[in-house]
Amino acid sequence: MMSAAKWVNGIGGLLLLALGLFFVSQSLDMELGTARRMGPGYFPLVLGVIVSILSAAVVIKAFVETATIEPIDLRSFAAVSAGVVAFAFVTQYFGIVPAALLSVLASSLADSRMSFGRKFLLAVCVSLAVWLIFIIALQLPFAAFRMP
Amino acid sequence: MDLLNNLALGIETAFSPTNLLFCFVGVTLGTFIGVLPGIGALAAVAMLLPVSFHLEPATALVMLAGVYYGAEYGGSIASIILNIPGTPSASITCLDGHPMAQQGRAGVALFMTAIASFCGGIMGVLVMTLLSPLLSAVALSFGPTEYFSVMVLGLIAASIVSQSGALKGILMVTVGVMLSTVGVDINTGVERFTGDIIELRDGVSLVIVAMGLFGISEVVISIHGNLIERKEYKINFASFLPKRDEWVRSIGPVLRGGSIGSFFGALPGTGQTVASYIGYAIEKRVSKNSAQFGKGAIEGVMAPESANNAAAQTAFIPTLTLGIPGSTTMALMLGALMIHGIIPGPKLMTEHADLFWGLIVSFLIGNVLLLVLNIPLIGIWVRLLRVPYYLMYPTIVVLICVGVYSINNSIFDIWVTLVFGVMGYLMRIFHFEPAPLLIGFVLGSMIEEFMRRSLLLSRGDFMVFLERPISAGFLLTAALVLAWALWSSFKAQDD
Repeated sequence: MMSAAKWVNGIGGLLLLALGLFFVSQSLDMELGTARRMGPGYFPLVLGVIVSILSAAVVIKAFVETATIEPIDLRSFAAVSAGVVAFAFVTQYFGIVPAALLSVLASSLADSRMSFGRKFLLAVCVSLAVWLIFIIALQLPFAAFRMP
Repeated sequence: MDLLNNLALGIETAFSPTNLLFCFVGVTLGTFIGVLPGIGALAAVAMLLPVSFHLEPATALVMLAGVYYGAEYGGSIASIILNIPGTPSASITCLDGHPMAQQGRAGVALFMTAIASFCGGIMGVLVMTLLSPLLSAVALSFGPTEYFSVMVLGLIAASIVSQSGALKGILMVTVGVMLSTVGVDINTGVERFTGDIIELRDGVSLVIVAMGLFGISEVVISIHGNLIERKEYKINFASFLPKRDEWVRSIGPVLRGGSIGSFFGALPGTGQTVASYIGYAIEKRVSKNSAQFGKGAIEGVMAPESANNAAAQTAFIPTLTLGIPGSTTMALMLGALMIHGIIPGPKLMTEHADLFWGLIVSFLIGNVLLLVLNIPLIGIWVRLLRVPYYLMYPTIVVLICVGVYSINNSIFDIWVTLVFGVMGYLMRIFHFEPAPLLIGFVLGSMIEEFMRRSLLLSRGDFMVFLERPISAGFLLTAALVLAWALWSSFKAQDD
């Protein structure tokens, strides 16, 4: 029986194999040139081929050797990603201070021991600190608040 | 004396009020970040890179370097008190440092690591002062062919130390080089792999790759372990001062650790973690007190700490004289230099002598600062460990976002950071290490350029890399290192 761990290791290799093949196919669309006068596609093509071969070897190796599986912490992963997404979206439409506020609230979803009130307090403190440090003190050219 | 003139120049640069201030800011901030588990020196340097764009190059380097060796110093505090290393290279300090704390001797352990770090750091700086001019003199005769080969050696060295095995390490390095080709090709002006996205024309910024691969994914990984309720630790600070015989017993380990650390730090690709492990292993073998190792032996704290901090300094030797980063953090330092328009390499010491020698003198200042600041501040650092992690990680996420956004005021950059963050997390799940990828990414564009130039000069003949003796030597070494690594990883499979 194939163990789950083998699949996990195999998938990592397969993803990289796909990336390598993507670079190979894209490089072939560009001018390759010769070794003496390399075109834009020469160097990436070589790299893409190496990556494809090595990742194929990783896939094969994953299925012949014993592997351990890493625990996946989906909740932390989703919460932190949500924090980054929130920051990107809100900065674009409302400015960086509300973005920091929402980003803290989103990424703190990874933890359930802190009450919402305390999370909100933390978010207010962080966004205030962002405003004071980056906009007032360092004078970075950010829009603190913005209306869409 | 050349050296004296150079040092005088260095003193002039390093003692300017701005540089002194930023040296102080750097080491203090570095210690702070090093103490906190979850983010290491690398993420700290990455977060401060955008800030350093606004500084003079020498000042920027002085600060970033301060953050780096300050964090190496602070990392051992968490190892001793919590048995959780603040930085990877401080993990070996847990073995004897934490037992000392359990015996109520945390104060002694912290005090002595400060001393060991200081001595190791100073030894590293001395080695750097003496060795860099020699190395850079040799490297002045390098042409593109030699550069290409020495970089290949650097990449191979960086990939084989990865814990996930040599095969995956080399794969990661190659992926890093491959990703560095994204953007407009400087020779032909053709866009490569940009998908017609304007923001990708200049390629992906090093800061973004580092923040995503290390910053974001490290936060995700550290959340679970750090949210678990920590045991309340009781530390008795009755005394900082070790017994008289412990002073005497520490001299040997510090000197041995410092020498080992200086050596491994200067090799491209190895870095402090390897240095501190080897420092510990050798000390355990030669020490008369080896039976006590693991139970709170002072030697087991002094040797790795001294090695770690010596390596942190000598890691700058290949970075500054050859332009080859010895570790991931050094790759970021290299990036910082290049952003300021300074090409690291043998000419750096002559063309930017003030920067080079100023940096060396600032290392001395920084190490003294760390010593005088930290012995009285140990109590504060220890209290800092009580800050709960659920307050810290959302703050770190926001700081990463603000840092990335401040590079170009571009929302697109934040999305790219997220992509690299997801990639970094997946890589960890699939047992791939991000460090070799980052080193490959930094060196990628230079490798391509040097390869093109060599082959242009040789009219397309690949034998040129083997016909030139220095280049052939580098490639031969790379091949031997690679063969050894593959052989030993297969051997490990059989056991």
